[in-house]
Amino acid sequence: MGDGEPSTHAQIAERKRNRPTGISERIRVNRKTLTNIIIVVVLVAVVWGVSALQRSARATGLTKDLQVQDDYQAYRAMRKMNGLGAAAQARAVPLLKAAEPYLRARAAILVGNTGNPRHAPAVLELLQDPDATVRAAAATALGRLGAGAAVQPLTALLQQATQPLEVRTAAARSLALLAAPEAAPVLIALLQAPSDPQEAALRQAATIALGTVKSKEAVEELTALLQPDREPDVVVRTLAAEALAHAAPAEERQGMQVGEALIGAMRDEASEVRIAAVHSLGMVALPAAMGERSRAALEEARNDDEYWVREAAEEALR
Amino acid sequence: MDDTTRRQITWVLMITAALALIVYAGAQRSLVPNALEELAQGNVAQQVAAIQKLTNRGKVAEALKEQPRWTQMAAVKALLEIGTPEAVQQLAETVPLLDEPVGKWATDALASFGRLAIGPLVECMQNKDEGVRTAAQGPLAKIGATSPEDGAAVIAAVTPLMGAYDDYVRAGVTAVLAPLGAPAAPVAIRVLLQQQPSLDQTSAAFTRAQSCAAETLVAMKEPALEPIIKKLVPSKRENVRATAALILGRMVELLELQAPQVVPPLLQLITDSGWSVRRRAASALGELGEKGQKPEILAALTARLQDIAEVKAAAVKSLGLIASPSSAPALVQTLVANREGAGRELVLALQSIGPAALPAMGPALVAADPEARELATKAVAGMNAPEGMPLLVARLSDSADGVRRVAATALEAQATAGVIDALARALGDSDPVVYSAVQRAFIRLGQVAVAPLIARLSSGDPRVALVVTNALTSIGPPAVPALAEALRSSNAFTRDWAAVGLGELGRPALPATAAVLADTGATGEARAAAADALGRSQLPAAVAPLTAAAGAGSPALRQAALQGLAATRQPEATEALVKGLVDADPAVGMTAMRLLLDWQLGDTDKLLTSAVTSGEETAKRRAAVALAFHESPGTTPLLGALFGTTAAAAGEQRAELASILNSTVTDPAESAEMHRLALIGLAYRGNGESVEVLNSFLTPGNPLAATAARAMGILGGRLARQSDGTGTEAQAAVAKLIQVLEQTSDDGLRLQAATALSLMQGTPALELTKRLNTAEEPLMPWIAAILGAIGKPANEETMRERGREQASKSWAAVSIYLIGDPESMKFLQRLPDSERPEQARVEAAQAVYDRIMKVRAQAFV
Repeated sequence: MGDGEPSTHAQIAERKRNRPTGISERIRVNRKTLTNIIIVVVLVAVVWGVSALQRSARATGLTKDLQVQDDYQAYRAMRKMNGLGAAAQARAVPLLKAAEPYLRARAAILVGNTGNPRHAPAVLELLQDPDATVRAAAATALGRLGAGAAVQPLTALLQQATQPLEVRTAAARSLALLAAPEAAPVLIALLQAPSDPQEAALRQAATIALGTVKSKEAVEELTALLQPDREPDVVVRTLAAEALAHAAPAEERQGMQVGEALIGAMRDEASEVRIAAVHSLGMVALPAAMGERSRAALEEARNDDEYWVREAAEEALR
Repeated sequence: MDDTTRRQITWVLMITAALALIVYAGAQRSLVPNALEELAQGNVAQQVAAIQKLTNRGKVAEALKEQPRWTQMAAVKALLEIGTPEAVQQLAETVPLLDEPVGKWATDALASFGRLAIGPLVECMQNKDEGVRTAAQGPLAKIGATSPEDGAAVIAAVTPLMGAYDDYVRAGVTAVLAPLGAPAAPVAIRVLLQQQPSLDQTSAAFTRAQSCAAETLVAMKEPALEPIIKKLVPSKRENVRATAALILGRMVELLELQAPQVVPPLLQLITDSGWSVRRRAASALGELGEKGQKPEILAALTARLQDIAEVKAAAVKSLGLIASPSSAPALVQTLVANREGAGRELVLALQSIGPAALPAMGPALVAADPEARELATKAVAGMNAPEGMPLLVARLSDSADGVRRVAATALEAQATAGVIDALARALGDSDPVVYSAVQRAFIRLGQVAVAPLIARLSSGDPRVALVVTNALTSIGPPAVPALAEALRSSNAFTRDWAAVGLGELGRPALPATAAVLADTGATGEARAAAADALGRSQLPAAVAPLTAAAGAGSPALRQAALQGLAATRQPEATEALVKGLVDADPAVGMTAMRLLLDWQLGDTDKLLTSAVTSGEETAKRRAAVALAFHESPGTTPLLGALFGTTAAAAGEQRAELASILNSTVTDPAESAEMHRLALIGLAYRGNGESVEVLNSFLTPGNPLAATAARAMGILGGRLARQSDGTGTEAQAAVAKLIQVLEQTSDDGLRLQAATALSLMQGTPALELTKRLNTAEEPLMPWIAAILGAIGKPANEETMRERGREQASKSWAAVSIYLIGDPESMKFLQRLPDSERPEQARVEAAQAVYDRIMKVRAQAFV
């Protein structure tokens, strides 16, 4: 064959006689290749198995390190466990029922980092924990677990003025992650209460949470928060302006209100509010009737004293 | 499977792996831009997801660098939403990169996480970036202040960092714990009470932890007082008590109104059995400053003045800081009797108390120990008080140099007009530091010091006069009137130095000085001093008044004016100087001549030549002598150029000059000085006739023989050069000198003749080498020495002489040896041993040679 001459019938017959016919015959012929494949597969399995064992051993060790009282040393162990992945983080589940409150809190954080909603019920129980740090950790974790069932308990926590600020603030932050419309009335009520500088972080978190709620009332409240007379905290006004960028006004009238409120906020004394207002005005979906007006306002913003206001206006007009 | 198939599969796998890598790399590269896009444009969930991706890869800080404000806000918001401890750490680490408003918001929000934030914030406290550390410290302190449990958690987390290597970490620990106050104090106290490092702690870490604990207690202020007093002060360990004293001392400054609270424990510690404790306590009490002016505190510190040196020094320093006048006597007594190890501190302390301590300084200022007196004087000096001046002035007469130096140095800056007289007396001090300082004091005092300084000019002490003059010239124009008046003093010393001063002052003093010179009512001495002063000024403007004075007044005045003119070194003075040659008074004329001998400014030679060619004989002679001393290569052309004459005419004038000099020398009516100067002049301006004139002086016992001989040597050399060595005049000079050499029995005269011959270069060489054959033996060393002194020009003749008779060969070899140049040495080396110079002959000739060279090195006698 190699020399190009046609095979004789005898040669063809010879080849047919030598060709493997059964499976065992085929396997025999490819044994060397099969052996090589098996060796490779075994090697990969061994390596994976060893590394899995190592990870497991490290996770076990870190779980022990987690149980020291020193918050800093425990944090270092938590960081390493996060680096080992969800399987290592899930080892903290039993610690949700630990006797020491600091262990329960750390466990809640680790379990929250898994992102697996399956763990939500166990964490949900910790919202009633006697220790405030544990409740705050549980509130934080529930937002990351995406637990829809946690909305109502978190809303209840938010409402309770007797709860420590860190707990209520964690609850508000998680509600933002859960983007729950049911929380809107509580959030609005909180924001409508007189502003207390001690609760600044709580009000800021509530503003962010309200921004994830696509309801008419939420938009109205956010619009109202842009007024300095109404909201003295610059950060809250800034967050409200920023949240309106993704507002979906239900009707044209509300859209006009949003547009006017943002344009009004572009004259705020605080530059951060003006920056957020300009940036949001460039992103929010406003009625066509506001088009000319908003363009004119953005043009005017190009002459603002603050550099970032001018930059935001340039970007919005592009 | 055949090879082709295997190869194909391999290629497929490799290409797949490469593509996967490329896709992965692309995904990684686009991670940050995509995340930033979502942060800027996305909703909360998208922003959180973007930040989470960046957080997982630790790229938050990198991504937020130089991003727009709205992106920064979105990033901070997303991190807050995540709310985990890792997100808190990422948030704190981005604070330095954020714009100020966003950074402030982020920092304020960090505290809202409560205890969950402790771990990450403690991690951030150890960050190398100061901005991150600062962002973490504030919130950590706030969390600690929220509740006792949170406070305990913060304290527990932060305490292990007390022994950290990096000082910024330890500073952060202090910044976090100090605001926590009383709950944190026990931890610091416990660390300070620790006796040795713990099992997992190095010695260095232990030391650092203790230092950090001390700093923390200091920063805590009032809340730390009670724990310190209850736990540290009563400790059985000396180092702990010493630390307590140190901390209390540091706190005094910080406590302001509450400072008195630290006094009782310090009063307890200052009597401690441990010296280090007593020292620290003594130092600490000083921090009270004026608030420490309490009897119990002063008594406690004063008691320490009897303690060992270290404690004593600390107590002294503290007494100085407290600055109570009532402690001055004790300090003074310590200075006198017990100052070892605290001398400097005692001085500073007394200075700090100030003039109030002066009444107590007496015993120290007059103590027997000079060192005590010196220290006491330093203390008074440092007070800078007018009341102390009499004490300092009194010290100017102290027997110890050191005391007087201190006093003088202080008075240099502090002296007032009231102590001028006393200062003036110190001008005569033997110590340069003292009188220099006094001089500077006078300069600073200015005009008021002029009169006392002038009064000291009559001291008769040149050093004092120099110092006074320096001071007056430094004072400047205000001193001129007094100095000008001092020119009229009857005291010659005063006049002389007043002239020096006025000369130094220069232009400002010119009018007043010229006025004295022109004042016909002033004494001659005064006017002469004024002339001296004008001369010293070296100003062109001084020439006119001096010229006027050179033409009028007494001979003494005219002489002084001429000397002043010469001192000005101004070309404008030339005419007047030359004019002085024709002065009617011989002394004045001679003065002018002497001054003109080395005067070459202006048209000197032209004017002298004019004087030589016209005028009366005496003036001509003086001018000729002066001109003769101005011999230079350019003179002859100058003569021609000046008069527009030919070289022949110039030669005639040269001959006339020589003739005048010849007649001056031979005129017995002339003074010995004129004779001498004219003889010297002949060396440069003489002619052939001058040889005989000079020869007439070469007689034993003639006081001008040496001058004449030297002159003849120089003249002979000139005459030989003018005639290229063949001139008969030069040979005549040689003959005369050789005659003297051979015939005189006066060794001195012979030496002068020999020296003169050696000055004539090669001219005498032939005659001298002839004499090697004919001269008597005693003369041979002389001839050999002269040839040797002539040097290389005598080489040729001497070596030629080598070919003659044996006797002359030997002495010629000696000459060659004395010539000593390389050619001569090579010549000698080629000689056979029998013809080499004999040692005895060499020594004899060498002795004469040395004498000739010594005379040659001298100037004209």
